[in-house]
Amino acid sequence: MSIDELRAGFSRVAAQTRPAANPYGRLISRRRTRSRLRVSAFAAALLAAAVSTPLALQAGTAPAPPAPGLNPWVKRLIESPTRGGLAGDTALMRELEQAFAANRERHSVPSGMDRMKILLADDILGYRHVVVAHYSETSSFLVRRWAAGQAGVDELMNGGSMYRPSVDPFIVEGERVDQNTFVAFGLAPAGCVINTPESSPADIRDYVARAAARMEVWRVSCDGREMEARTVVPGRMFIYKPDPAAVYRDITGRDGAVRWDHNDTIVVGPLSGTGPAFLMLGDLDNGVLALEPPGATPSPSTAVDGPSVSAPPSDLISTGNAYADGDIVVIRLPQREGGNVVLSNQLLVLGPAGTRAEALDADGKVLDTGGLDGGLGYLSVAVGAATRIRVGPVSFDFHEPAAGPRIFEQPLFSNWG
Amino acid sequence: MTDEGFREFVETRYGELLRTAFLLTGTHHAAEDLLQSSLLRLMDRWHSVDEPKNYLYRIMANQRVSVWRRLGARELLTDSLPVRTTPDTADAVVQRDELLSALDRLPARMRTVLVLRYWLDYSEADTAAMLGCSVGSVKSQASRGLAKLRTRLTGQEVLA
Repeated sequence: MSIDELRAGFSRVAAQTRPAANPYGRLISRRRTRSRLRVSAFAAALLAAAVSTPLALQAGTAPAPPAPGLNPWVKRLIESPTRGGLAGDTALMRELEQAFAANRERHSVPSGMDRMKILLADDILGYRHVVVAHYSETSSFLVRRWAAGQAGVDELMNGGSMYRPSVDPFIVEGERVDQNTFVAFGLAPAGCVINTPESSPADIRDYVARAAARMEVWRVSCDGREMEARTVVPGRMFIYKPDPAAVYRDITGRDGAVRWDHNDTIVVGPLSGTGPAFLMLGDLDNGVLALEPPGATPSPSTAVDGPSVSAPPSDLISTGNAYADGDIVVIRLPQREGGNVVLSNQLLVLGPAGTRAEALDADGKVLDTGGLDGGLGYLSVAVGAATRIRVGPVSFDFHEPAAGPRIFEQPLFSNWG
Repeated sequence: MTDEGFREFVETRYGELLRTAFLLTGTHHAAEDLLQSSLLRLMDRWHSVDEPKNYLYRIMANQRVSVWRRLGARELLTDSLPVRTTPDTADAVVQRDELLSALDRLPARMRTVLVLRYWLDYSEADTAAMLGCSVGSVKSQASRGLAKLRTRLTGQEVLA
């Protein structure tokens, strides 16, 4: 490749990027959120210090890793025993501690985080995974490294790496280790239980590691209380020249037709116009949105178990709700939120070009309206708010079964505080 | 903090900055994440920075090299979908995807050197200064990066 060809290629790649509206407003929102988190952490630190100081004085000795200011559940996770089959290898643990300490700068660990805990050291399906929390009184930072199974410490430190700016109470990580295998593991504070779709009563515990072939919802309960439900999404794979119709055929076992191809938004449905459809959105990193047919009972298994393609689709990220009436399709789009994929406030409307789409509430009030330029448009409507959609002269009932972040009709939530 | 100069900088430059972030990261979400986090750092130093765009590119380049940013690893505020105005032809999409895929498989520093040198047109010396490495290292990374792209785009390592 010549330099001129690379410059031209860069231009082609960059040309597909257009910023969303109001970048400054979104930036300020992000800054406010960050500030709120910092203030919360500081307030929590003050409160925890006020509570813990007399106890510490009374006891006469400091507890092993006191971390006032950290979320109590994060603290409990950090104080939990190291998980995994390698945790008992004290020589290896010592080596790992030294290696991670020596590589703090390389791992971009923020200064001031002078404590460290190996949360996980395990060989999972042929790969060695180590997860380490660096932390201070008020903040935390996660480093994950992986390499081939039986890897020595040096090999591990030169293997795959992943950093997160904070430690969550419920850590769910994963890695695609070969074309067909995605290894996922979850860590929760000691005593909590992680429940996955394939959990049997015997293996419900606070550490789970296994292959995940499809997107799943994992739940964790602590002290008898449901604390979090989040998605586990098999990692993205590169698909060379993806063929939407072929993927549709593999998912449904039937021939489909590309109903719409608007840049990198592709909706595929059956030739009859009724039945399941799916949507590929480039903006979701080549994700595939599997959609339920109108009026169908949500059925995660049929939506996600189907692919048996030689090169499986990348993230099969969400079911949404699709509504079709004649040539009109309305789709609730997903978006990523934290580590989850949730339903957004955006409705994608496909219909006759040049017409206008409206979302109406139960009183007939127009919630949002927009033109279908080129036959496609977006409406901003909160989940569950609209009961009727009107596109040009056609209108039809629009019922969303439930509000709030959901995936495969299961609510997603986080109660860690 | 509301500074009109900074606001104007964001509103007028966001598109071109996002394109560079996209070339550095390869996904829209990661690009927005990288750009937003870099802009917030610039915002804190706005009044003490003489050349904000260069300073911002330095932050972006070094963050890209030092931290492996994965989709969903950080907060990202997206309240509307990016707007597409120009449909791509099928060939253009394929070429674009091939280059993106080849870039994805380069080491972060090598990719960053290519973007700084051949997208932003920084000199070898300026690129070295931005990344805190030697000119020789920039030359080497750029040369090897081009060679790797050449090899991969000729189909020798295409994933099926």
